[in-house]
Amino acid sequence: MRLIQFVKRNMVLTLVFVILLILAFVFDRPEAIYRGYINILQSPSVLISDYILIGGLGATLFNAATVLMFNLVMIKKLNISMSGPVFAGILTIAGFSFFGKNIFNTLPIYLGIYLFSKAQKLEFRSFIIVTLFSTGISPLVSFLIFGTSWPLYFGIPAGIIAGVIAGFILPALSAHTMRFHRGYNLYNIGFALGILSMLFAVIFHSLNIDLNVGGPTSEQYHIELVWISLGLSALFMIIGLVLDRKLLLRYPALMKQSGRLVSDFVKDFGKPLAFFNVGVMGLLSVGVLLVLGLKLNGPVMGGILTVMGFGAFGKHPRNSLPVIFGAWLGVVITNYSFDSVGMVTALLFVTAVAPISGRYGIIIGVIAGFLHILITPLAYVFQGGFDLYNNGFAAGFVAALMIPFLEMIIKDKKEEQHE
Amino acid sequence: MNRLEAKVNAKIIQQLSFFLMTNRVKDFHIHVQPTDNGVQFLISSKDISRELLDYMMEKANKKRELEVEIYGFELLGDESAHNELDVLGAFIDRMETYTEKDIHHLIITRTYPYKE
Repeated sequence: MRLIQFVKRNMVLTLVFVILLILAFVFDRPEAIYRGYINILQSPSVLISDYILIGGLGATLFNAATVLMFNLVMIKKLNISMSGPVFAGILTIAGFSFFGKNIFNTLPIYLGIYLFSKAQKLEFRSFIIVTLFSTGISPLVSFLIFGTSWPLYFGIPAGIIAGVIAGFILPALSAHTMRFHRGYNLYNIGFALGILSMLFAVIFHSLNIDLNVGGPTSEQYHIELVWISLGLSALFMIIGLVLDRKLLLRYPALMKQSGRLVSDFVKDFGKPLAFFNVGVMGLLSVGVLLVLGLKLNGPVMGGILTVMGFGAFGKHPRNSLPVIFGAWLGVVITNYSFDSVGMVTALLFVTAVAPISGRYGIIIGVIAGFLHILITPLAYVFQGGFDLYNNGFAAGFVAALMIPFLEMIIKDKKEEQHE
Repeated sequence: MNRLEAKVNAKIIQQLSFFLMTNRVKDFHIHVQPTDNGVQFLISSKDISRELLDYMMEKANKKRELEVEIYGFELLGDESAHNELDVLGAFIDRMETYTEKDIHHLIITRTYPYKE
């Protein structure tokens, strides 16, 4: 009973932290973890930087665990309840700690948001959703310090100041971008960060600073990552079922949701069902990758954890599968290829536009997924690689392109019911 | 009432009036009444069906979420978002209904989260 109460209060994430930390020391010796972790902290971290290649699996898991723990402590100190968006934010941070985020490059951005909240005379805790997702632009900090060949006495202040500025601008910008896609891009902040990244990229380009510092990925730990993903997915499903054995009766109701922002499955359906859906989304992600014969690496692992996180905040199999199928179709019938890790991750991150499928049906969902996969590589070129949520940037354009048209021509089912 | 709270109140009125109009409620009255620490929106109409009132209660009478208030601010009052009232629920504390002399009344209470 004590364990159940603990799980109910802390939403399993503390358990995930412990698992990641233990696994770190299972896969590597402490010295190797230390060396790898230093390499991770000193990496420019620009898309796509696979921390498993840079620091090893042990150090990457250690990095994910520390970043996760830091954010859990922050949530606790701010006395914020673990709602769907907060849960999604924290698991997204853990996921991106496999390829771009670390404790060092996230803090200046948090500081920027904190200063914005003070300037607005609002409580910092009110900005918690923006704060958690804000770290998508953390490579900006690492790049200026470690990726420019500037001396550290110049690079460190430049990186910190740039991070603070990005954090300060983001809350207002992300509120505004919500209007652009009308809540149909679950990675709204990814879109806002894409705009910010674009601004920084053009500034650096004008200064003749080379931005092409992303590197290859490592598929060396494919099997281990598959088992970690499956284990975490099973953990969430089992805990959900233990907390509420009748949750499957309510699962169809959850899957009827469009998933449009701001869909908080924890608030609307309770923690047990939200947990269960988180686990299902993890299994679905791994299943799709295995069926297509694709290998797991740091970025792909990040994608899996992010999709799992959004299992509490808008994504479910019914609205996700059509867009994933559309993305797969986009790769298969064009000259794109799954040899590119960007395409593999896009297969998971395409679920940013899942609400389009949830609202307008399977066919429209497939089209949205298809368009997303076409736009994603161009979005990367456009934003320069400082926005880790490149798919969020692409998804914003997909939603903005489709929604005004769809709202004009397709009558909403709910609207018809009330007529 | 500060500027941000005025904007939220205006968006709540926009969301509610759009919802009612698109659900064929032609004749209704919205009264905005300040309280000690917030505001009440009092909606009265003969046109609102019991079914519609129940639907509104189901959609909007949910737990208040301050963090969603900041994040989802721009989605509130979005008249192109069909009839969703889900976002509204994050901005209000309570929604109550009662019927008196064939007129349905809806009372929506919102406390201001921030001090002046």
